[in-house]
Amino acid sequence: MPIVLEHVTYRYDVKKPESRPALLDVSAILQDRSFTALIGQTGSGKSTFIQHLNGLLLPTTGKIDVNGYLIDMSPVYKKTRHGEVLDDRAMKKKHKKKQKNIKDLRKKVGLVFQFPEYQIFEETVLKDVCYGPKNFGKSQKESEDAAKEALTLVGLDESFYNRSPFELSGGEKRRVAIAGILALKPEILVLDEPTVGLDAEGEKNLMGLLSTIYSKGTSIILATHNMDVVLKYAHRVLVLDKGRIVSDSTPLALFQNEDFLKNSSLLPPHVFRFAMELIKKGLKLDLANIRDADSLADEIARVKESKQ
Amino acid sequence: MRNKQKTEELLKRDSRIPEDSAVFLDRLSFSYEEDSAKLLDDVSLDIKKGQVVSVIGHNGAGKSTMAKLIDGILEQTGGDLYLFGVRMTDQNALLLRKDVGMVFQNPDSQFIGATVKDDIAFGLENLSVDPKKMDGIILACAKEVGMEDFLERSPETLSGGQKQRVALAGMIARHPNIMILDEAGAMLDPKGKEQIRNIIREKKKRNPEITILNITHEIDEAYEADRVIVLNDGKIVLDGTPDDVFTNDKLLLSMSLDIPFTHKLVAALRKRGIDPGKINSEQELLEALCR
Repeated sequence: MPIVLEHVTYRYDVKKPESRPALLDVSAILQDRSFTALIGQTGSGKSTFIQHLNGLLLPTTGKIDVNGYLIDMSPVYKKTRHGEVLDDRAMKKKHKKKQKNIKDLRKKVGLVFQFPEYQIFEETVLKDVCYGPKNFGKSQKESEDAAKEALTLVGLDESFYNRSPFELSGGEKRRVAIAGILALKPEILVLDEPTVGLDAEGEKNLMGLLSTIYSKGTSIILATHNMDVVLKYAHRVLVLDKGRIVSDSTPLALFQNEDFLKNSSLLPPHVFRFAMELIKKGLKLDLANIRDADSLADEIARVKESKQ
Repeated sequence: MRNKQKTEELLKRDSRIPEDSAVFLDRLSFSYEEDSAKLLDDVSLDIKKGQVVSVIGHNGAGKSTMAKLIDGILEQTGGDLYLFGVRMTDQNALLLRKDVGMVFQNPDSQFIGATVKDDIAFGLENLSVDPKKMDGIILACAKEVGMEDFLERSPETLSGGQKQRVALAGMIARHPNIMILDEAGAMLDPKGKEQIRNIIREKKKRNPEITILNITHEIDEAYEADRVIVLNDGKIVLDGTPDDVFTNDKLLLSMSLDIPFTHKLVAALRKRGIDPGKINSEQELLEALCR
């Protein structure tokens, strides 16, 4: 299920025309069954971008099409004696008009916020994960079945069902929060900084979980500052800067683009920088094979063997 | 006069605590309920004035709990806590907290003001700073963290990283003698993180007496400290210089923690039958592999 954004612009404070747009003329196609990372410095528009994907924010102008679900805020012009000008009234009407069936969109696109564990509120893990499906009109039995399936997927077995989510570790709480979204069986899972605050093991487990979800056919879109995650898991990476998409490529191409990186706030992952140094010193490594320390060791071993 | 006397009494040093101590924990424990697990378990620690200490540990190890106890947000259920030799009690906690500034992991937990300016002002108002001087201080601190163009913005229009910068500005405006950073750069890009580290380094250069506790999951950042403390299940399991602590690869990995990149790569190479020999730095590894 592709997501198509056409000329999307968003201003947080539309009343102040001088306010800088958080998104500016963004056009992109996010393909079905893709694993896309969204990166860029603080305030570049990443969170604003992803909140558009399930209609939590509506564009100030522009169009978003999620597999036929259309949010159309393209500008309306009126004719005047001197030509055409933006029809403010018609635009205001568009903004006021509540999007119909927005729940349909939210079912398709599950959004996991920054620190999702802060939104947990029910007294038991199972009840918390059931909340979403129930809210979408499922029966108690259907909700519980969906919740149990989602909890199994995130690696929490039935011993967790009746525990209070508040006594779990940070990583476990985040799993509960993600299960709450997965219980809605979204076709696209969008996550805002999912690894922030997790220790090394928690990060590895969570990214392993997202890989499993991806392999079962769900598209993943994640906003992150974690370049190790981008290199290891993403197939495509969009770079946002001051609300615009300034680069659209693979992680491999991006991290080799020294001219682009020099003028940005980005830094390739440690493992990649080290591999580049080895290449500069004459080791014939294939960067395409390098994702982390283990794959770099594999690649070094391969090159050393071929020399002998 | 009586008030002054009272304040002096409340802030009386305990002569048993070393003169150079900034934070002294004496068998400190904390649990939310009497019969629930201890999140901090009998921890004793002496952090000296001017020390930069990194605190690492897996999620739920007790790092943030320890920070909140030192900041007086939580009250210990066992043991004693001393700041600059003064034992923290219900009566003097507010006075002692003036010396402590903290930036939380989730900036939403500490955004109080309706605008960035109000938020930075909050801490200053609590310190009874002259309102005439306040605007100047707020602007200077916002400039330090690169948020001077956002002073009138409300929190919901800011990104997570921007909120973290505002929280940092609010802290440095108060000039605390003890700074606690609980993953204060977690939501920033690599260059933003470096900028935060530079601000802290600069503060430290200007006032070497500042004591810094930096809770982090990032090894490179932890390496910059004078001392690294590793917490596991509410207890201190390692305490030493970064070099001392980070040689314990197996122990760190067993506690779900990351190890330095060089150590990780050397271990992976050895598994594949490549032994680069004794390696002390990344540069040495680079040279060994290209030989």
